[in-house]
Amino acid sequence: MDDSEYPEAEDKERLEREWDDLKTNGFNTLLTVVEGGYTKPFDHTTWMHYYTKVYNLCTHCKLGPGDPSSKAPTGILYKRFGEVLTDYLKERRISTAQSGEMLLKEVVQKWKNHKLIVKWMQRLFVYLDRYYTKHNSCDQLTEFGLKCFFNEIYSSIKIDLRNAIFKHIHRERTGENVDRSLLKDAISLFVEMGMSSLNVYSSDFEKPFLKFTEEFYEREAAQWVAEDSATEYMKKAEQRLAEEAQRAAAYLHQNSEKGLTEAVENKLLADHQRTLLEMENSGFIALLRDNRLDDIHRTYRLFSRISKGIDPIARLMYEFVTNEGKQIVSKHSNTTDLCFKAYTNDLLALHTKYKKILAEQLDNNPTFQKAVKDAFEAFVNQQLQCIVKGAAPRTPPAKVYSSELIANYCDMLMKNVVEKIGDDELEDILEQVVAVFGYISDKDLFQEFYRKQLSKRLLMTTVNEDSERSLISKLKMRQGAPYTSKLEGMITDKNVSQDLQAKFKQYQLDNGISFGFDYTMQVLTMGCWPAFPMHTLKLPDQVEGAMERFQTFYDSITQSRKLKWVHSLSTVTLDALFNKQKFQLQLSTAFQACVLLLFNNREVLTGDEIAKELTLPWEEVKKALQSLAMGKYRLLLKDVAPGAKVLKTVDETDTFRVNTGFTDKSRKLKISTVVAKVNLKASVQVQQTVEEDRRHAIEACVVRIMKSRKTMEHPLLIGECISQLSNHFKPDPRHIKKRIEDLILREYIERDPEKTSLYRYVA
Amino acid sequence: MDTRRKSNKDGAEKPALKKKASSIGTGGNNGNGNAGFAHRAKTDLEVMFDKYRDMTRDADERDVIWKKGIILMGEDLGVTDEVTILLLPWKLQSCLSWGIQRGEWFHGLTNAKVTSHVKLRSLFTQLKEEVGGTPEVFGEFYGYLYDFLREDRGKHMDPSIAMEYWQKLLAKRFKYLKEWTTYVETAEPFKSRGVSRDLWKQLYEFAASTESLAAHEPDGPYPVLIDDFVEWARAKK
Repeated sequence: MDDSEYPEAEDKERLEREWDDLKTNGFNTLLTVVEGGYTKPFDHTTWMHYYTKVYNLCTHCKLGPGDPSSKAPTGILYKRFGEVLTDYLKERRISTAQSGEMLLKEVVQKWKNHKLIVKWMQRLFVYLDRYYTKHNSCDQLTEFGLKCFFNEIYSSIKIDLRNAIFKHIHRERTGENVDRSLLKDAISLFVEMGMSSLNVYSSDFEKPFLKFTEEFYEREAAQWVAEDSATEYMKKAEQRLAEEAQRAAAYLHQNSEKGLTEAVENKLLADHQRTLLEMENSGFIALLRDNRLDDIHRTYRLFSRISKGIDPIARLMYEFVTNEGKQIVSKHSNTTDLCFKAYTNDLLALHTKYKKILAEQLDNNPTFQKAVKDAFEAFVNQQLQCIVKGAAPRTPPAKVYSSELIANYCDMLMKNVVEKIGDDELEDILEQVVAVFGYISDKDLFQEFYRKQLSKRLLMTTVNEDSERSLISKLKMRQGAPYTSKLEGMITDKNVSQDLQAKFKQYQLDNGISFGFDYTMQVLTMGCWPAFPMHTLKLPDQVEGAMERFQTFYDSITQSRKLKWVHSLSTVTLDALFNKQKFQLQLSTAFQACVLLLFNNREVLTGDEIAKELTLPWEEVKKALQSLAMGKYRLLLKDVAPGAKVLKTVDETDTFRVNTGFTDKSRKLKISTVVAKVNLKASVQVQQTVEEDRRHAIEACVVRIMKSRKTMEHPLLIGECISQLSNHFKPDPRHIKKRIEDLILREYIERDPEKTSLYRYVA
Repeated sequence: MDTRRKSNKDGAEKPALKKKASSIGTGGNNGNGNAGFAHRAKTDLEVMFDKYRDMTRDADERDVIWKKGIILMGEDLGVTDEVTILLLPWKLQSCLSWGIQRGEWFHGLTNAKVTSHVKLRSLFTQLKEEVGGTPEVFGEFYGYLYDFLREDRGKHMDPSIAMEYWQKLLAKRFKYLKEWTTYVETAEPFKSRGVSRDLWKQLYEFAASTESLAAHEPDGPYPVLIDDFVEWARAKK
């Protein structure tokens, strides 16, 4: 050391002396004590002694304590502080030849010691921290001290240390027990080496660790895939994921957990997803098939962790449910006597099953909900073929749609309600039915069938109004008020009619009118009810009188309403005298009654004459005569015209007379009408009505769209039309095209002369 | 019908017509055969019109060159091709089916600067070139013909007439004409209904823009019948 560096030789000497003392007595003692295992080397007095030494050295110098020049004692002390630490560390190099565990232990121990030493040294030299380091932008003493460790020890052993740690973790992963606290300490070394940032930890430990983990799980997964079923695999995967999470909490830095979990998920789940899901007997489809609910739940849980994990599963679910549905459809299709009850029950059962799975195992996840919905929509709208019993051979089977079958099912429910099903159960079934209804695309067809059936129920039988309203309100909630307005109108009509009836009775009493027979009327609002065939019927005078009276009454309580009589819906009860025996005949139609009443005044009539008298078409008369002359109760006798063939049915030329010899055990007879053989005719009729309605709906829609847009391209128009009508039915683009052509012909719209695919609205 | 002629009968508008007499030539020889006006030499146009119009018809219809006359005119002019003769009514924008009215004749031909027999003949050549030139112009000509050829029976054109002219008009322009002909002869819709204007026009569009059957899209803007035809034709192959 140059004399000229020190302002005074005295100071220099003093410095050396004091330093020696510090080093020998202070530092070495400290070292011995710490390495001996004690944590508190100095008591308070000793500490003060050394601290004062430092203090004096620093302050007695002529130069200010904060002076940056190397001549100042502070600077020298600072440097020597570092040197002392570095020196002792140099002597304690760690051998990398040791085994993993020994290495870890040694490193950890040395580190702990060093931390303690630095701590105490810092306390001794804290004066420097206050005045020197602050003003000279040097590291604080603690940091400085730790950096010595970094330089001397850490840099050379970090890789071996790391590998040792990995080995330990590997052992734990393969089932051995390891010392977790040791690992934790070792890993925290990396953290602390980064001082206040995690960079050292991240680059020296975390990244390699994740890579190590990935490699491990890649091997594991490959092995599992080769050996295990998908369910086994997933159980193991789940277990491993839990393990790793716990591991992260036990000895890794908290930031690592996320990265670790992701790495494991990627290797175990994402990479093998397809294989797992498609495995022969344990893939997702097999799970659904065998209804293994726990496994389904597990699959969902695991795969919802990875992004886009559930899409392939949803796809498989869609395929499977669609298949099951199609099987149901084909099971019932092409059979004779297509039973709507069995079919609908099957549909409802399938729906309930999957709704349950969605709720319980799949957490009502929207992707899966959509998959199930799409699946149902795919098969519910298929046509079923019904072979008609007794139809001529080689007639093509009739086509029936689910909408009709489900409507029939509802009809059955409504009729049976009184007898068999309890209220709650009914509500439940109705909910299910409406849910399945939601999948049908031609909802207008359903409405038409339902309307027809409802009208029959309301007019012919007694009806449980509560259950009817319940179903209608459910439909309303799903489809909106316009869909169910007609249905509600029909029920209202019935109630209103009852009111009217009471009023009419009162009116009759008030005005002293009586007809000599009981007469009830029902007033139906046209438009709500399905179209009924209207006939002109010549009724007996008394009846006509009653009708007129009612008309007057009705006009008196309403304004500008027109009544049209629908005779085909009337029922009549007649008192008859056959063979001196009184009978009460319950006739199903007014036509039958009128035919019979004709014979009050005439002995013999031909079919033709009857038709003329009653001003009815022959078809109707024929039906009535058949039921009277060839049914269960032969009230009339039929004679065939001379020379004509004897037919099983009735002919216009046949003559009829009263069967005066008629007798029967019971006094009350019910004469039913000839039942139409094939109910499919009615169904075809409904389909035709709906077809026509749809044509109008499409046209109205197209005109509406064109009116607002003025011009529109062809594909856009079709698309817009389909989406506007989607709530009621799914129009075929071909039909829309036909309607467009028709509209062009009628000059509502025209084609653009320049561009064929552009349409214009014609004002 | 030409309303001017109607009022001509009443004699109300005669002075106005007379004014134009020298340029149009409707002068003394009006439909009533009233020869009470100045005699002067008839122009070529007048001569031709008189030659071809049908005097055997009722008063209303005498001032029109009907089908027979048109065909005769074609022969006289050396225009033998049935299609070419149709270029004239197109040029004149005749609105009657198979009929060229007096006003259309004179007005149109004068505008085209045709005043003589010879010039009329060259007009045909010129029109032929025009129409043969671009597809758009031919398309216009073709589209016009629907109303001209229709013979006014109901809303649609008789399929047999349509077929006849499709052969003549689209022979070189429609790749699938042969198949189309077979289709129209056998398919159901043509047995009960005729050919609508839309179908007539769109067939040309179809012919002009469709390269192959396979490329045709069923949901495109063409009429449904054309879609059906494509489906049928594809199935046949």
